[in-house]
This record gives sequence, structure tokens and C-alpha cells, in this order.
Amino acid sequence: MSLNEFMQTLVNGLLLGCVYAAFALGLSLVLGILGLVNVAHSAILVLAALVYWQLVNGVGLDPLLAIPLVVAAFFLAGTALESTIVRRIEREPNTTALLVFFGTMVAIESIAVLVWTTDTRTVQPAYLDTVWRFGQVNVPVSRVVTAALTLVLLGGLHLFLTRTLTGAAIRGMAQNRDVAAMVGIRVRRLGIWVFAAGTALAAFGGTVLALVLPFSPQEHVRWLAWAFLIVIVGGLGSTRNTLLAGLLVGLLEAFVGVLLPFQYVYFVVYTLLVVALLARREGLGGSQARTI
Amino acid sequence: MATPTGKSPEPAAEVTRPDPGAGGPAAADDIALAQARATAAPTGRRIPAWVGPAVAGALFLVAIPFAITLRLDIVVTLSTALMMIVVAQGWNLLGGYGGYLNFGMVVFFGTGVYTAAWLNANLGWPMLATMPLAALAAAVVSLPVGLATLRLRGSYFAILTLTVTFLAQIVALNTKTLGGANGIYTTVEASSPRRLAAGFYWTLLALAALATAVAWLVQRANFGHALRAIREDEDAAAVLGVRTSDVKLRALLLGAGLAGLAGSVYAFQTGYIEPAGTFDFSLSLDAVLICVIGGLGTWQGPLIGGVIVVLLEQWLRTTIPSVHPFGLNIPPEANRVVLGLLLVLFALYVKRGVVGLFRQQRGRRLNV
Repeated sequence: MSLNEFMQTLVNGLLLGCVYAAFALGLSLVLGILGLVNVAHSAILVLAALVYWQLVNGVGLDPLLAIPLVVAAFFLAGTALESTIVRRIEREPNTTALLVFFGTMVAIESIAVLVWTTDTRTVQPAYLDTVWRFGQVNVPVSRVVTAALTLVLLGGLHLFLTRTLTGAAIRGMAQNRDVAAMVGIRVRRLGIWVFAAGTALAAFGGTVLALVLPFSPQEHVRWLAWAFLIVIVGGLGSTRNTLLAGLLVGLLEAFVGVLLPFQYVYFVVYTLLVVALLARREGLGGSQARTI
Repeated sequence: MATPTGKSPEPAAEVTRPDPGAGGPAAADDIALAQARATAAPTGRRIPAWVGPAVAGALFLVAIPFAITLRLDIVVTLSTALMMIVVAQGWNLLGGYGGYLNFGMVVFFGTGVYTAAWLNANLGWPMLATMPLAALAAAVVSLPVGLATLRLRGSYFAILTLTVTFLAQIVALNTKTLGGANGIYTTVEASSPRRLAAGFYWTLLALAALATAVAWLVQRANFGHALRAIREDEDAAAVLGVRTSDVKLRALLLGAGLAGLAGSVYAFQTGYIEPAGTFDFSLSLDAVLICVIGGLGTWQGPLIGGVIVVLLEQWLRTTIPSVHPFGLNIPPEANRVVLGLLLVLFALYVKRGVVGLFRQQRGRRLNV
């Protein structure tokens, strides 16, 4: 591998890592704060990607302007989903919550297939569809833009959760919901917001997916595998770790993709997933405290 | 929650007639318990434990001649229902009794399909000979999945099984000996379509009876009690000496083996195996749906749910394209929207499934 090739792979991996971090954000937030494993995460993500595709390719909206539109629409959809379905499972055992999310996933995926069929799609992002060249290294603008947006979003979320009173309340809710309610935090209302924010972040992940990769509605589960891997590797409760885990997976995929035939990428990723599962034995909370 | 009642014969007669000579608090407790039991449930409502298995056995016997007497398309539909009953009984062991949801049952089923198809296409083995190896292969494939996740709590197992379906498709697509994207053909000899369908029907009927017997035995054995203890409170079960990871892994292997058995028959039924059709996510959904609708953690649940879900799917598949609301054509894939919403509704409101609806009175009696 020459130096140029190495630099190119490094850049590809870092940009892909930001994309993957964007996929995992919503899953990590809902899991870390509400303790819910949102199996429907990737279905929401792909549905948002399809809506985004419709807005950009069909309606002809500006690709950057369409992102906040999609995210806002899914924030509203998230509040609706929380107040109809999710609020009923917050106090239920794990199995009920998983079954409900699984059913939701199937319904969302099938609706997406009904409306948009199973074709593989790509977004033509107009002026973003160019490539910058630095020496021998090619950098697609669409990936740079999505990586930058992801970093801004991650930073903003980190500051919100650590520096504001609402953020502190949300972190308190993650630690112990009952005690948080006792000290006057409105857990019911915050719960709606957090789930809606998780849905909106999934939608953001969907727009990122649509901008950088081809996608089809019935294949969304693979993005769930990636997002899940990043959540396992990075743990919960820290946006920085989510980003680092995303970068790790992105770099790994980029380098494996260069060194081995492409299908081995999946084996490496799943092997990493199994290793991470075996290594991280204290539970999804990422700390001993949550399992008690 | 559903307490395991009604299965084991209780010494009710001894309790209701306490020895009048014996005094002390223990006897008083017995009397109090007896009175509570007498008021809680009218006597004579209780169905003896042997009735359920006897009815199920009779149904399986009655179903034998259906292969000859019924119309061919009905026999095929019933065969599908029987196949799903086998898979769902396998799913129910860990998912229903143990509370560990497997969203990728099709991986183990598909392993059985591919094993049987490969043995038939390359070595010319007949269907019955491929069955044990198909079951074994499915169990072997389930081993790493279980080892990676079953020592952990919570939802790791559910997500890993859900995402592993994708990996299975990739493997089948890129493995030359499994035919890759071209697939494999299986051959089976039969004199007429009726003989062929009847052969599959009887095989699947036998498998369904076997799977139901396995579930019934598990439910009554210590193994089943351990699984239910894990579902109710895994920490408490571990403290009481249940080797939780071991029990869960055994339930997974047994369930995967049953799915592999069903897969080996399916390989010959379809005749042509290719990755996307074999590792079809719908089968995983159906297995979950059958158990949830029928009743999680009961041996009767998959029997009832299997018939309901397969008939419902057939009905939806034929009905949906024929309705045109607002002049729109609705593609037949819409049935999965209905199935997904049905799963949500049952998981939220009918937690004990159809079996639980019949059991309500008896459940109340035990909460005394």
C-alpha cells in the first residue's frame, strides 16, 4: 500500500466513521436515557432517507435545506410515536418493549416498501456532487458536509447534556427515573422530548445515509447492526465515545475493504461485534450502576 | 404473570379436609388456605392435566387422512401451518419460556434448508436422511450466537439475532458450494402431485407432533421450570442455583435444531433454494407472531397461533389485492403492515395470547 493509497483510505475511513456515528446517535440516546432498545431505529432511519430522497430527487429541494425539514418532521413523528406506543411500554418488562418495537419496525419497513418499493436508490445532491482533490487524495464534498454536520450535532448534543439545566435533568433521569421525578423533574414530558430527539437523530442519520451511500428499505437491518456495534463499543452516556467508536468502525471498514475482498468487511464487523459483546459484560448501561 | 399452575396435580383433597385433631398455627394456615381456595374458584372447573395432551394427540391423529381427503391447495396450506408450528415450537422454548426473544429464527431454519439442499444436490441424499444433519447444522450455527450473547442480560440477544440474518444472506450469496446467487436445486421423486404433497404433509405432521411433544416435556421438566424462572427474575434464578447461561444455551440449541428440521423439509418442498428467498425475514416475524398470538411459554400456543397466523396470511394475501379503497391498488405486501401492528397490539394488550384468554379464571384462582 503506497502512501497515497494509505492517505486516501485514512480519509475515507474517517469520513465513513462520522457517517456511522450519525447512524448510532439516536439509538445511543434513547437507550442511554430511556433504557429502551429501539429495534425500529434503522427502519426510522431508512424511512427518513426515503423521504429525503423524495424531497431532493422528486421535489427538487436544495439538499442542505431538506435536511432540517426531514429532521423536524421526524421530531414530530417521534412525539406522536412516544405518546401512542412508547409511553405504554416504559414500565413494562423488557420482552414487551422489544416485541412492540419489533412490530413497529416491521410496520414501518413494510410501509416504506409499499410506498417506495424495494429498489436501491441514491440521492443526486446537486452542487454537493463534486470531489475536492488534495494532491493525490480525493475527498467527496457530500461526505465532508455530512461529517461536518455530524460533528456539529455531536458537539451541540454534548454541550446541551453537560452544560444546561435541562441536560442535567435528562442525565438525572437516565440515572434514576423515580428519584428524578421525586426531585421535581418532569420525567413524563422530558421522556417525550428525548424519544422525539432520538427519532429526529435517526432521521438525521437517514439523510446522511441518503447523501453518501445507496440504500433500499428492506436492507435497513444492516445499519442497525452497525449502529448497535458502535453503541456496544463506545458505551453509553458519552457522545465523545460514540464518535470514537464510529471512527474506529469506519477506519476498520475502509482498511479491510482495501486489503481484502469486499464481503470480508461484514465478517470483520460481526467478529468485532461478538468480541465487543464478550468483552463488555456489565450490561447495556455501560456501567455497573445501571444493572442494579 | 402466568404462574405455572394447573399442570401439576395439587394435593387439594388433603388441604380441604384437614385433620381435626391437629392444632397449632400450621393447621390454621392450612384451613385458611383451603377456605381461600374454596372461595376463589368454584370446584369442578379444573381440567385434568391429561386432557390437553390427549386432545392434541387426537387432533394430530385426526389430521392424518386430511392429506388424501382434502383439496390439494388446502393440503399445501396446512403443510405450511405445520411447518410454522415446528419452527414456532422451537422459538417458544427460549423466547416464550425463557423470555429471550430471537428475531432471527430464519437463520437457523435457513441453515437447515441449505444443509439439506447441499446434501441432496451433491450427494443425492433423500429427505429423511438429511434431517438429522440439518438439525445438527442449525444447532451448530446457533452456538456462536448464543455464546456471544446469552451470558449477558437484556436485549443483546434480540439485536444480534435480528442483525445476523443479514450476515447469513451475505454468506450464502458469496459461498460457491452453496450456489451463490444462482442457488441450488433439490430433487424428490414422487408418482403424482398428490403423493408428493401428502408425503410432505405427513412428514411435517410428524415433526409438528414431535416438536409439540418436546415442548410439553420441557414445560413439565426442571429445564422448563428453570427457563420460566429466568423469565420471571434471572437474578433470583441464578441465586437459587439455576445455571442460567447453560439453560438458555440449551434452549437455543434445541429450538434451532427444530427449526433446522423444518428447514430440511422446506428445501425439498420448494425445490429451488436461493439466498434472499431462504433467509426471508418474514419467517422470523411469523415465528414471533405465532407464539405471541397463541400464547408465549405454553405448548398449546404455537399450535393455535400457527393455524391462526398462516390462515390469516393466506386470507390477507388473497383479500388485500382485491380491495380498492379510493380506487387505489394495494400490493399484497401490505399484509406485513397488518401483521406488524397485530404484534404491537398483542404484545401490549393480550400478553398471554389466545391460550391466556381461556385460562383467565384459572389464573385468578392461583393469585390467592
